[in-house]
Amino acid sequence: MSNDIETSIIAMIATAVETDADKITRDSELAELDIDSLVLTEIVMEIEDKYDIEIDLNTAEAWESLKTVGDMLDMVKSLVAANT
Amino acid sequence: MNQRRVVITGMGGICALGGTADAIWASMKEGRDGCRPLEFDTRDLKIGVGCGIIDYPEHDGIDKRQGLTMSGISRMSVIAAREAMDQAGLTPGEFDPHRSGAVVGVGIFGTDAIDQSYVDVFLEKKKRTNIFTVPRVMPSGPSGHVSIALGLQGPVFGVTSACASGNHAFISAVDQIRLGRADVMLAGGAELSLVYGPLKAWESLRVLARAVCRPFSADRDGLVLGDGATVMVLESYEHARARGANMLAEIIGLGLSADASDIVNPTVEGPAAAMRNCLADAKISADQVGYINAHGTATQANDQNETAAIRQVFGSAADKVSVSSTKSMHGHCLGASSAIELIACINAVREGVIPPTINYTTPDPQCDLDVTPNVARDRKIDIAISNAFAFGGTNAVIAVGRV
Repeated sequence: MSNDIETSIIAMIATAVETDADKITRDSELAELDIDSLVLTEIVMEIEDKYDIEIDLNTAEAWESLKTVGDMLDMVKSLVAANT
Repeated sequence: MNQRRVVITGMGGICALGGTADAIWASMKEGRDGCRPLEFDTRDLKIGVGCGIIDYPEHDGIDKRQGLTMSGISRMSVIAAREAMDQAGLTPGEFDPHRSGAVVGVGIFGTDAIDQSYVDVFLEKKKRTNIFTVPRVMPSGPSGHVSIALGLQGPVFGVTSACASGNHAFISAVDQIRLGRADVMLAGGAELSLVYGPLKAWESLRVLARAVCRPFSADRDGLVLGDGATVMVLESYEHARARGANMLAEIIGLGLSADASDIVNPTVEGPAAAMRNCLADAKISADQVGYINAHGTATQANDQNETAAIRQVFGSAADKVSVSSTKSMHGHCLGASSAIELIACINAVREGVIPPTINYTTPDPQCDLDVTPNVARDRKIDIAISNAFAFGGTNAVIAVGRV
């Protein structure tokens, strides 16, 4: 499921910030993509709906530790793993 | 103390009478009725009419990401604020953002967002509401969004006083300028009443008209709710003069009072005190007022009560002053009503036209003022006042005159 999630999340980010998915890599800086903490929340919600799980996340706290798309992917994947 | 003068240099609006302030005024002069069948799924509502907005712009210029966080009250406020700024000739970068602010009055809150959240959770059985329900619902949303859209970094806050919210917003904005906290204030009111929840609640109060709003007419049977927003640019006289702005009118007086009596039934004394306070603040006598834009809701209680209050304050001048309720045309847009009604007052002074009270059929001996029945009237006036007497007994009156 891991790569599947990664692809889904990148697609969601691409939609949220209106850019092409192939322009987003693990190294992309969140600030450069104009992604804010609410985008993270929206993505977590979509993931919850897609996998029918509930993720316990305080967005503001979580956001502090995120710098790149890779950080975000790892965090969401670990949250999903902890909830399935 | 020498008070700073406050002028209006721009108006913007959207309601059942049009998508711009100019269109709204043109409809008022023509006596157009904005009341029409409700155009959404009304479920079990008995009421079937309202004054919904028309001519919402195809491209509203609202940023997509910002738009996701907005209730309809915020969208309408930003559209109206942009129009007002355009008319005022104020461009971001060409005025001091720290000396500029916004106050938008809202009677309820982001009703569309709260209704949607209940539908999502209780009917659709979703696990959660929309992520932006909180910022969409909050009554300070319109002020915040206007500040974001126009880059206003001075005093920014919402105010609420049910059906007087618009006037309380104007008054709060004037105070910011008079106190020297700001030179430019965007002010007005916004409301979305035509949503299932609020309509269902208003039905319970049993004050809604069956089909037609007839203020001051003996056969009146209540109010027609409406949606809309109006936002104006208020500026200190010095600021407007220094940049050579076209001054549309001056806000010459403000009057506030509370009934401190009953949460829904008005007193005569409270509204009378607000009008008296307004005349005193403007340093004018009642016989100088040419037009009163009445609160005029078309409920039995308001219209007789307001007539008595006007007679008490105006004395013999009450038989000479022109009165009308433009709510007969744009409906009762609650927190937006008095903001829309200031468009009527400013243009009445500017153009010498008194907008009518439409749908008037039968005189009521208890409402025996000249209510300008059905047809606009040409009359050169110097000063108009706008009455707003809300649930809660919260009263606010504004006087406008030529600059």
